[in-house]
Amino acid sequence: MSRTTSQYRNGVKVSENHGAGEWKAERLSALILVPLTLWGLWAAATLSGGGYDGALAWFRSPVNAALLAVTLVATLWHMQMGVKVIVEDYIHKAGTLKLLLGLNTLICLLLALASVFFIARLALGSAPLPAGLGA
Amino acid sequence: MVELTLPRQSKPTKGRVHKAAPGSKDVKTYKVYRYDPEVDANPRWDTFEVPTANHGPMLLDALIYIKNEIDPTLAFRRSCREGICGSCSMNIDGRNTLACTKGWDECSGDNISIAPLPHQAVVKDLVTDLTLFYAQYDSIKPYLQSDDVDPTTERLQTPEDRAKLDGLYECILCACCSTSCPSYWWNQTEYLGPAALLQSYRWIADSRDDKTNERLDDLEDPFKLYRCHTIMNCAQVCPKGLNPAKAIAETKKLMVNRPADRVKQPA
Repeated sequence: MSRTTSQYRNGVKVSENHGAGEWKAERLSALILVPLTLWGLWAAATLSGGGYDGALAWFRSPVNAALLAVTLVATLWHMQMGVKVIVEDYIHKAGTLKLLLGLNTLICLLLALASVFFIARLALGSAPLPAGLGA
Repeated sequence: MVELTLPRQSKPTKGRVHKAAPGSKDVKTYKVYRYDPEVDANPRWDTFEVPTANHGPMLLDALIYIKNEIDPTLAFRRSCREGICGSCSMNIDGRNTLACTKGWDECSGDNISIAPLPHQAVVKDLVTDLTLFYAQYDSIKPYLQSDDVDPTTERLQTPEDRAKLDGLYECILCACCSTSCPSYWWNQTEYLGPAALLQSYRWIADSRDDKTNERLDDLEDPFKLYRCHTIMNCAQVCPKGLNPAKAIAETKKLMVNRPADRVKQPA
């Protein structure tokens, strides 16, 4: 993490010797998301007329389920990296910075896990929600 | 948090108005930022009405006229008056530039604001404290580092290699670019800023320099280099017409194309 652990020489920050990997990951996830987002929009448009059963049937196709899972995980990965940069840009108080960065990662991770969990349930033909959680 | 409003003691108040003599022709009104930490509680905007016939064609001429004829306490840096020393960089009409190469007739109206470089501590009036800016320049080791034995003649390079330094070596370190960059405003203690990064790339791109890998190691950091979000204010304001954002982009490209075994690992 930056800023809270920064070291300085003559008032100038000493390199942490990382950053290129994160830069590459931001661009790689963005690149993956270009076709996936277009596919997602197209899928949503085709799903709109099919009703509830049509939607359930759509999820049972392994290709649809796998692509949607990859789309959501890539989106949340990209979001986590993007929000991290924004928080680091604007939040300078060490405690608040640590808290927000932690929350950001936690929320994105939980959303990614939930996405994969529910997509897997639908793909396997289970009810959208586990027993005891709603209808 | 980023400060979106000025602290109370930094808010400028209305200052003195120096009217032009009645009947003066072609009068320009200069709104000049004034602050003397020894006597002023707050900065103020002084207004100077100056007939254009009284001085030369540049904003610096107007400032020198004001200092010589109206208010000798006005402080600003200047030296070469021809755009090569970088001393008279300031914020004119809302944009960082050199007062000596900006004509008063290039400004949009008859009311021209003149303020110090943004987001820097003010020493007095239009003079800012550039200590950190120079320390950042110093940190990128702005000199040739060669593994060869010192030659007795010049170190030659091909015309093609020499051409790679065009658009880089012309930087005069006026700080217009760095102090126009929002990323530098918010994080200048961590981010090196466009000027230092352009200067760093000037040595990375030099065929005679052998420390490219070490230079890249020193830059690889989420803040020092990667706080550049390609806002491009730097390229827009550079009074020498340079493009620091492009130099930064080239550095980022070199960074990811390095062989893994040459990259210094985090401590």
